Amino acid sequence: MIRVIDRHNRDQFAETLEGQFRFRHEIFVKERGWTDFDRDGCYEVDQYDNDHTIYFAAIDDDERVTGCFRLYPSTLPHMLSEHFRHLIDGDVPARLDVYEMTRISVARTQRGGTTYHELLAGLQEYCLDESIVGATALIRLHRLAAVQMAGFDVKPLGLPQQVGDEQLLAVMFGINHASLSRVLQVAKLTGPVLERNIGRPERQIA
Amino acid sequence: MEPVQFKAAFDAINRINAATTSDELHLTLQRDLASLGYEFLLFAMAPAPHRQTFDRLVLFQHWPSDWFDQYSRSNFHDHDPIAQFVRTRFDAFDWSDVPPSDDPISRTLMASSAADFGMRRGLCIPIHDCFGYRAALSLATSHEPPQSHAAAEMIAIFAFNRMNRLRLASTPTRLTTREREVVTWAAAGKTAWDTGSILHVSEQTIEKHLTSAMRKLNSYTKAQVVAESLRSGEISL
Repeated sequence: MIRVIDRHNRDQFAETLEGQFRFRHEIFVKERGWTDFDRDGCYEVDQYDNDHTIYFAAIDDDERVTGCFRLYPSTLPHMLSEHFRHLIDGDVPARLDVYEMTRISVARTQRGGTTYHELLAGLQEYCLDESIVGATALIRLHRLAAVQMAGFDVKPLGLPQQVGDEQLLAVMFGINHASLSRVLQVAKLTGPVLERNIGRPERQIA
Repeated sequence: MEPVQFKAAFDAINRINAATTSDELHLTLQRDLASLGYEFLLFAMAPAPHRQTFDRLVLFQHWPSDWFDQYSRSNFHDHDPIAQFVRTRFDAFDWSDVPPSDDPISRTLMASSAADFGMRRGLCIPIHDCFGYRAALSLATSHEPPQSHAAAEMIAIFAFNRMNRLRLASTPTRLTTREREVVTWAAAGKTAWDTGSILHVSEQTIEKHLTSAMRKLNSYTKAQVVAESLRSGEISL
């Protein structure tokens, strides 16, 4: 199940949110060595963790976080516009109905399982509900085929480039019912993956 | 950023996504890679238990036909250092990055044979999904290859995805009742020996059904044929 946390319900789900920051520390600081974002040796936080951020946490039956990602408005300065501008050919997408997806990650023990697909289905479901038409993201080139095999429509925003020891590519994921149903089918999931949310009002797109 | 090259890659990807048959896809891919500077290409699947020989690995190719014949006939694939090296790599590599081989046939293959047919320089692009190494696109040219691999790499991955979508769209249910039964037991965690005992047939017979199901669903491992069978609705739990 995927729990969505934003500024309206973060008090209610404070524990999950904290678990999410700890989880990211495990993955991004300990496993991938992004020490710049280490906070107090147990959280991973950057400047895009604020009131505008929408968090998605995959949680197990004991409410432990087993995977996550976050969305951030593309109309505000965001990771692609501020730090990876050179990966985009042309204008950086900046629209009310486009969000940037970052920090997607799955617990080591869950890799190869359905958590990854659940997260991807969660993105489609949420965005379809909220009339968001696309999600930009930075992905490693060697993961591209896996995202496509999971059923996603991917549009490249620039050529892949070497960043550190990785080949990175800026992309736009299409949001549509076809992608959602492909992801669900691949993962043999039957239905909504998002937790019915209490305390999160309908978001208004201007 | 090289804007002209991105535009070319982007247009190529749009043409790939617009292809409605594999012939169309091959044609547009060949043209676009030629305009990037690669005259020769060969798209091959990763070897799998039911797919070992070179002719069964090749999805499609545009090689000098004499070279392709010689390569197939002489079983050069088994000696090709590029074919070995690609399995160990996540990212594309230049032929010149392939470590030298001790095998004399490999050395001749690399140093002269391919070059005799105009394939002097080349790039090999591995493609991975959640299950691991799936396919590779091998590109070659008699000229100086483009400085950047980026466009070719991206095009290769999109082409592979399009091939898969076209294949899925054109292939409905194919497993036999027995194959479905065997895969269902595999999904329940049974070994071939277990399943053989349950169905009162030999372990070899079970392996035969599994291999056949793997071939039909283009899978590489037992785990994958289970996943593919579930995904395509061949079996349910």
